Amino acid sequence: MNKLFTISLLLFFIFSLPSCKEKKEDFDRKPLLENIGNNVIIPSYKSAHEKALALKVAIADFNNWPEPQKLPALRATFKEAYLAWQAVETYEFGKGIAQAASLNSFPTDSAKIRNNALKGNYNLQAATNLSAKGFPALDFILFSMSDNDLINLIIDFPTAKQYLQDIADDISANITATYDNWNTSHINTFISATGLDIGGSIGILCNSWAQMTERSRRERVGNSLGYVGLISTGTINSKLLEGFYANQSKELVIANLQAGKNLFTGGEGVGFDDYPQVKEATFQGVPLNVEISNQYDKCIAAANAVSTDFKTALLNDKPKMETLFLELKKLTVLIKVDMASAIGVTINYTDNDGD
Amino acid sequence: MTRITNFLNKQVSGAPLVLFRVAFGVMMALSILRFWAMGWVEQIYIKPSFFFTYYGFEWVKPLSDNGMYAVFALMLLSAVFIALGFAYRISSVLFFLLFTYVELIDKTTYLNHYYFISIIALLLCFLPAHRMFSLDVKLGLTKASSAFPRWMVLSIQLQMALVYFFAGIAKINHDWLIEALPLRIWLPAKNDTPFIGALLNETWVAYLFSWCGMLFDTLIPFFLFWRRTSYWAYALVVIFHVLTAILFPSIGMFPFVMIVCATVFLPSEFHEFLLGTKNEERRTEAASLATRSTHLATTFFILHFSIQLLLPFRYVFYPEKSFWHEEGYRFSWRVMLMEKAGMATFHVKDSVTKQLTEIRNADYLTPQQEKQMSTQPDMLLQFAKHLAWVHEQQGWHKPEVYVESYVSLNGKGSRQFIRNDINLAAQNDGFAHKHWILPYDFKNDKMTVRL
Repeated sequence: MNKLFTISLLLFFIFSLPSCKEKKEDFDRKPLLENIGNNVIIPSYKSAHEKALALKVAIADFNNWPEPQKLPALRATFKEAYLAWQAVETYEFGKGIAQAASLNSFPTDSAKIRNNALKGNYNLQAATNLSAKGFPALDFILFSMSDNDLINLIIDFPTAKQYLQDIADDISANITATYDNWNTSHINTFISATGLDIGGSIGILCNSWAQMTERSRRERVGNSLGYVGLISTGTINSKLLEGFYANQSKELVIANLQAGKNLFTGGEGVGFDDYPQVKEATFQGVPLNVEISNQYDKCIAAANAVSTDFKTALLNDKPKMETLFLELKKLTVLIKVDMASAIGVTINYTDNDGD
Repeated sequence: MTRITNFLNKQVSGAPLVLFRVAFGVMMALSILRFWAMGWVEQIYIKPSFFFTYYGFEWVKPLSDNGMYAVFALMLLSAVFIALGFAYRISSVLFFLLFTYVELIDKTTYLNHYYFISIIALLLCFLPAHRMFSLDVKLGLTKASSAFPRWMVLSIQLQMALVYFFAGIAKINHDWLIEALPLRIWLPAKNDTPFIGALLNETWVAYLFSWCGMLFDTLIPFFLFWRRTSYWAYALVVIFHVLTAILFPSIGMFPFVMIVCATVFLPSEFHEFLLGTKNEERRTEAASLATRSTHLATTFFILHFSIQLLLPFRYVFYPEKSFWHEEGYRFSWRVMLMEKAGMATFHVKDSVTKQLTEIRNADYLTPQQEKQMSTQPDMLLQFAKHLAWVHEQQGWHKPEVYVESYVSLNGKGSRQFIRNDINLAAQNDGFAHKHWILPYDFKNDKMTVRL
């Protein structure tokens, strides 16, 4: 027995020796969270908050003096706010929870919007109005009508005027509350929860991230292409696109992906690509940090490769849209399975024993 | 055979077994209380609308809300009675039946640790561990005896030894020993542990833990059995399990159950000292446990341990990598061996109208169920068949179910897991190899990290 033990011990030292030469960098999750919180998430919320506020003011101004020459600037303000929103949609936790559904449920319900606008008597906080509020509702109101029709609507129907303002106020209030919360207290909660177990910031962030990446694949591209999940039915429907009326779908998905990449790389600072286990893990032989970064680039390139807007491309350039869909699918798997597994966080976690 | 029979039936001190009974009862009672307090009775056995039953045990169904709580209450009571040695014969059988029933409801919660408890509980049904230090003796419900045939103590010891030993040899694989996986993924995740946190970032620590873990598990049974080293070995058991409890809090009560149960290996003087019984007593009363059923006991003993010895090796009947397809994986003491994660997207198709829908798994499953299912083929199949059934109820024609699934093993890259062109609704579960599991793609299996 003693001999066996000695041999085993020897074997152990022989195998473990080579690894001693390599000095492993220490990785502390706190700087990662500090950088992501202070330099990625909060600035994104700041921008989204400012743009949403500008939108609210522009709509109030337009409502007070509905003049046709104000419309181009108002519409541009809306587009900017919608683009800025893309950078915060990923953070579905803390005060940001359920905000994607609340502020960005598409396709929007045009019949319900008409009804709300003409009759008033709606409750924007009711679940039934999720499809008649937020950015998609404004997209419909501001872009589906001619300038004259829109101005007449605001002049003739006080309820419509109020509804338009209420939607903008709701967007602004929601984003501002989340921004304030991040600024005052949530940033500390976020930075201090460095653990990878339940309640740890990285686990919470990765869950939300995975879910929102999947949303891009499914809702921003897949649905309009006629995909049910990952199976194509061949029936296209451009009305299912995000930003359909402003015809902004391509810009929105690109903004979303750029924000995703920024989150992954941590901008200038420490990001998930610096995470030792993400560098060690591989995908088809390529280090995972390189692979994920590349995959974001591939997705952005695939979106840019669609030479027209998405609405036109669905009719004339479907293969390019299919390529984008497939790249997004790959990105989803990399975030949801590979990265989560490499870091050691659980997607769909519950507090339970395991072995 | 006679020599074996004689060896197995030699009278030895019953103190280790009796103390084990008390310890086991107490640990079970605490575990049940903890389980209850965590809200898991509701979360695991009441809330889900669908349960992943075991093959051949599809008839096992959960009871109503109150029924489940009654089961846990009774289980708690029987565990307390086992500890007290009160109505032991009934309590032990009741505990075994209730515990095993609960485990059979949903394989989502399969843990080797629970399987271990089921087996120990089964063994206790056959062992008169209430003949000393029990209410049954105090109340005159059973005859007192301090000497038991050796097989009784040995069966608990051997069962525990097998757990360690098989857990150890399961670690003798390329990923565990040569690449220190998955510890190299898991340990740095715990680098905020007080005192030792910084060390856990080091690759050499992952190697140290991997190799020590393998050596510990494989060899500790021998050192525990060997009288001269058993105290030292027991000290190692304590250190090892405390360390795992600190590093992996998610394994719950398991380390503490093992620490307490492993006392059964210590020399009987230790137990006699704790129980306050004396050596002479045992010698004089030696023959009180009749040996009429010695041959039956011997046969039972040999049969049980033959099964226990062979069952973990059944994976050899399946092709390729068992970590990948997990066929023959359960009931084999493969504990904390791999980092596996996956995702599965299901589609249901009406075979007549060709109508297609994507399934949101969360509409049918709890997060825990979804997570476990995403990496285990038999569960993917069960869920597919459930989806077919649900849609058929809703008027779909012969629904076909397809899954697009990806799994990553030990951080070596996700790859497709199940053939996405196979209608799972038309497949059957069984012990045969599931041909619709895609083979593990070794060619993409390189790590960037040099040793």
